[in-house]
Amino acid sequence: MTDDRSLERAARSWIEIGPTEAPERAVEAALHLIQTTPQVRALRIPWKFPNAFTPTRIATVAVIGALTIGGAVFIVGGPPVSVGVPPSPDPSHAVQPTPSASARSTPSPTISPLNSTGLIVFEHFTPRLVTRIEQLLPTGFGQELLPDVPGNQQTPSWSSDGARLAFAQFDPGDPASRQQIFETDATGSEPRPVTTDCRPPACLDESGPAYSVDGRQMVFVRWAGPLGGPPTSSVVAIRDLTTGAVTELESTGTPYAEAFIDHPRWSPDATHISFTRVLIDADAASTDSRIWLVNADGNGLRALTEPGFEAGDAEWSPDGTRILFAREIVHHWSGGGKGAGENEWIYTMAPDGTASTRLTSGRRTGAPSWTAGGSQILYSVLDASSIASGDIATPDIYVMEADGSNQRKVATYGDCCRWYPVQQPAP
Amino acid sequence: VDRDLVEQARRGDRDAFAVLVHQVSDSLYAVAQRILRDPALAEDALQNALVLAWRRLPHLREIDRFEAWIHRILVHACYDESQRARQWTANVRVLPIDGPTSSDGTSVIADRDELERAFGRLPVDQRAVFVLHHYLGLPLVEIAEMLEIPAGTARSRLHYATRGLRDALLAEAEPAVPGGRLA
Repeated sequence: MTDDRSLERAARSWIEIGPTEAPERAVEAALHLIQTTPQVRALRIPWKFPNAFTPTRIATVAVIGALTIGGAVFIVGGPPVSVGVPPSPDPSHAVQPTPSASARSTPSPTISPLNSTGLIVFEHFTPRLVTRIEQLLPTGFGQELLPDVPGNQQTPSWSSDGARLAFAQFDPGDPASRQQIFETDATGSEPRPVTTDCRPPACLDESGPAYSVDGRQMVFVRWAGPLGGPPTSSVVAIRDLTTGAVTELESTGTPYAEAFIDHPRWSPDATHISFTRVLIDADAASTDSRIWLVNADGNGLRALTEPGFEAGDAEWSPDGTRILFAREIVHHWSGGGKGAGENEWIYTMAPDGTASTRLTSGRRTGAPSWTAGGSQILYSVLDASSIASGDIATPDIYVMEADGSNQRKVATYGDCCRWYPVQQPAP
Repeated sequence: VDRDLVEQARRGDRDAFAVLVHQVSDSLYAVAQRILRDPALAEDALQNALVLAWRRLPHLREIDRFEAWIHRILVHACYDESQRARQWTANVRVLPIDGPTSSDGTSVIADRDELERAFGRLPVDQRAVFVLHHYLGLPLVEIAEMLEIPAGTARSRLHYATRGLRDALLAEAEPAVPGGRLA
């Protein structure tokens, strides 16, 4: 059966064998979920996934208790800790298939120290398909920073003094919810809304916040569009944190029919803003991305990377001499792009786009950020088996020196997905 | 698939979407089951795909591409389920099935077993292209469009899948070393 013809014949015949009707219980379960699941009418950022149920407070307490006990055992040097993944402690949830034989994973945290000691927070894209901000505990486990804030918590970004942490939030379980920016601190204090003047259609959502070094301004992405509908455009915007006044940099305005703005960042001297322009197709899936630079007054718009390179997630070094960036944006790993699954490496370049240097190779890497002080780089790495399968898989958090040397794991987990680690600058 | 139903569902009509689900779920499940080779995983993939499709339907701009679009969502759901399953079964060794083959039909069963084992060892993205091509009968260009991958990638995945099956079958066809010690 091993010559090509007979193999193909046998394979065709064999592949026909099997069920041709969907089990009614699976279809009915899906339709039941859909009854309580709102549609994503404003796809503010493409990595959003649905939510469905609200967990009990008891489950939250149980989860935190399990993590605490597991961490304590880990600290005192007991036998290897094996802690099954409990229900996600986040208060809003998504697709929950009916019980089946499909496996769920087990975390196995490790921890490797960094040169600097600031708190590391990251996005945890949970098995329940919502994104929550977690802090990396000394045990290697993650713990929710804002357990009482419902829905998706995304794109955490520290102020340069480490006193404030900005993030974007929206609740997919609430049809009236729109994405807004909040700020908290390293202790997870009650978040304070930064978004105060956002009304459709001129302002549908706000996302991707980043503080200026002096902490007086915040750059972010402002989305326009009708309430209940998809966005019509996005633009880089600046908010004066003293007066609340917002200035949109019109030169960066982008119609959603073709692209959207992502990940704006101040240069340390506050004269320039870098951002990503992500091209999308008819299904709002990313197809390419480029990093752009614009003067803080909106003039001087120019591209720093070439078309087809799929560059994004740019981060300025604290001294402003280098821009760290990734080829392929982790938030779109699941959506894919022209080169999805290939050449997903981390680079640095000069602020004029020259002197590009590749820091990683081989394994899929992304979501880089400078550690406090800028001597090291935090990033995410997909495991090798994921590369072979093309799956979104289970990124681990890694660290390397600023020149790309001494790449090592900071924390690893058995389930998907922790990414976009950012370290608190020295308070 | 009725365009009007897709348009109604896109505007938030759950009843219209339910009709669509009943029209496409058999095909989706059959594809998922053949990619994943596990009924429970296939059910999970089907459910996740249907709910995700409902969520994202307002952003489907080309209504005529509904079936290709929802199959793409399904294939990605299969990738996710396969990943979870791999973590679970990483330490489970596949045991070979021994036994003679003959002309009385048992060779057909043995061939199926060999194919099942060999197919299970292929990466899930290769399995997906193989199933879409050989089960749904889609041309590679259409598969490439559906999965949003270059046509060359679709072709190479099918090639590697076929080669992987052949190599695995060849390996299994090697005469087994009898039990006992090697001299």
